Amino acid sequence: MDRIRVIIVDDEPLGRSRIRTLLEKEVDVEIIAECPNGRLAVKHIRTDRPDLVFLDIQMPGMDGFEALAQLESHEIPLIIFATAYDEYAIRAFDVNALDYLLKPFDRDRFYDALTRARQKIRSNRLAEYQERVHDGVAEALTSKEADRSGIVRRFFVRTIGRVEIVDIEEIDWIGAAGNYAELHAGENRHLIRETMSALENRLPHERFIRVHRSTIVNLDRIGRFDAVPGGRLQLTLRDGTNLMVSRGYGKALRQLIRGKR
Amino acid sequence: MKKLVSLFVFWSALGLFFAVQSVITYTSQGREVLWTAPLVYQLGYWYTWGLMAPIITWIVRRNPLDDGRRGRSVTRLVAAAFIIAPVQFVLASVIRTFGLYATSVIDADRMSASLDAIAGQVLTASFDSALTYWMIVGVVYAFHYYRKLQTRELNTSRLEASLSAARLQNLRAQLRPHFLFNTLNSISALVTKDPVAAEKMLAQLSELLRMSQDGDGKRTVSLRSEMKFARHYLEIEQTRFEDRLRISIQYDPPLAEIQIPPIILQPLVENAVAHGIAPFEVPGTVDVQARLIDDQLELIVRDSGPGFDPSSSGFRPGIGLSNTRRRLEQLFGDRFSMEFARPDEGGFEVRITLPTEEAA
Repeated sequence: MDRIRVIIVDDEPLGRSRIRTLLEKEVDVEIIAECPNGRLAVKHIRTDRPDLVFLDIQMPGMDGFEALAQLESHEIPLIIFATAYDEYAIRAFDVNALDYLLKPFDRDRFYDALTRARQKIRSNRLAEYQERVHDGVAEALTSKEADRSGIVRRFFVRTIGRVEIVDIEEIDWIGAAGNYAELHAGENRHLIRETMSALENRLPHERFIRVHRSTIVNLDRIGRFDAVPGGRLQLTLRDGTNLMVSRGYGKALRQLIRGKR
Repeated sequence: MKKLVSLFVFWSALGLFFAVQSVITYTSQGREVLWTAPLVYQLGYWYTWGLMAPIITWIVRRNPLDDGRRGRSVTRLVAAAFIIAPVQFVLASVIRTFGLYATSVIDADRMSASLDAIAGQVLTASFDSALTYWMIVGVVYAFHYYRKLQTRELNTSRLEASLSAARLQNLRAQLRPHFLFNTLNSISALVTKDPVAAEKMLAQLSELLRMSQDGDGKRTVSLRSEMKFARHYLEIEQTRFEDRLRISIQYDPPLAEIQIPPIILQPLVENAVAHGIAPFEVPGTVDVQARLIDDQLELIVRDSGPGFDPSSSGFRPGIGLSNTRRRLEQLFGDRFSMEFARPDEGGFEVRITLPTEEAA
């Protein structure tokens, strides 16, 4: 049987040595590279095609998430994340069911993760897993860039095969789609796992406004309003999209328009 | 609007109360009395006070009875009494007379006679009005000071809350969880690989925790102990980063016993490692210095990272540095300085000057 080819990525020599020591007794594991930063990790993952990567999150230069964002989905091997303390990272792992080790970890916890990794490598169902990794990466990178009050200037989104950046300036409007939100940016649509109220708090209030339970609009894109029967408003964006304004949110919108004049 | 209505109700109630009182008095004396006259009389009287009240409130607000201004305030109130009392009396009399005529209690002749008589009564009747004037002044002052007291109590409790929040933040900021977990992880790597180094690191970490616990209760610690704390912290980081971190700690031995607030250096050192060393793959230095300049203790923490331009708009001190500044403000008011600089030789530098008279 083929041996599991492993890369260890951690900027701290002792961090790498801890994992190396624990792997040494495993006869079916071969350590093919050790990288002190994300940049080298990307290079080695691309050229050496490992089965499994132990990936530290906080690293100088390019961190673990940024490294994964560089890779295309199909290039992503099985990852066991390792982090000392990073609430965004842990949230992203939990939400997307990704395996991670909290430093310091004991050998039981380590070998559990390794056993699960072995099973997954054999099961050969990597495609769906790779998407989950990119979802988690996008989520964590977006949260990481938020300012102290939680406002973001750009979203990291998973598109087919890669992680892309959507500047909030590019967003025309956002619509709810089940547990997801759909960012409409020109011709492009991106699904992200966020509720409308969470998104409302992440966008600068002077630029984006909630007009409906399931709609947030970029104020710059509003073309005109029309009153429709029933005393409600209908928004027409500059690109011609029609959106309904609900009664409750309409009040805030009217105030905003009055304030602008 | 609501306020106007409640004011109207208030003054009407006063008028009604006194009207009822006079009716009861008259009745108890066995005199038969109609309701109209006392009602018109009392309502006319108290409504005019209702009109005067905003003016009185305005005067009272501008003339507090605080020390130093009391004499001037009282003089002004007395002067106001000489105007307001006669004005109120004349107004009330005119309104009352017309009111009694309108309700047919008096005829036209009595009315004009009454109006003519008002001028002659001003001097004596104003004393009665003046009495009510001083009562109202008293009530407005009482209300004014009650409100002031309430606001002060609210402010005090707010201040206390923010102070204890700042204290809590200090405690939390002392040793970041990130630092603790990474250190523990390094130790767990060393346990099998190099047990002696693991022991040493455990001892260093324990010493650091002990010192940060000790520092909590104390108002000051010696510069020596603060420098020792910084050294332990940096040595632990050095075990983690190996050759990426170089340490330099310098101060003149005579300064060792100078007293400074605890845990002043640690956030600066932590900041230097986090921004000047950790993000870079090339080795760097953290340099800690203390010296005496004109009886002022100068503490310098410098790193060899790329630095930030403190004058650029993008520069914003992190939570650690902001907390340190807030603490120093609480302790020293404006008798300290905390500056950020980008030295010519590169890196980032934090420079704190503290008064040393506390040490003596």
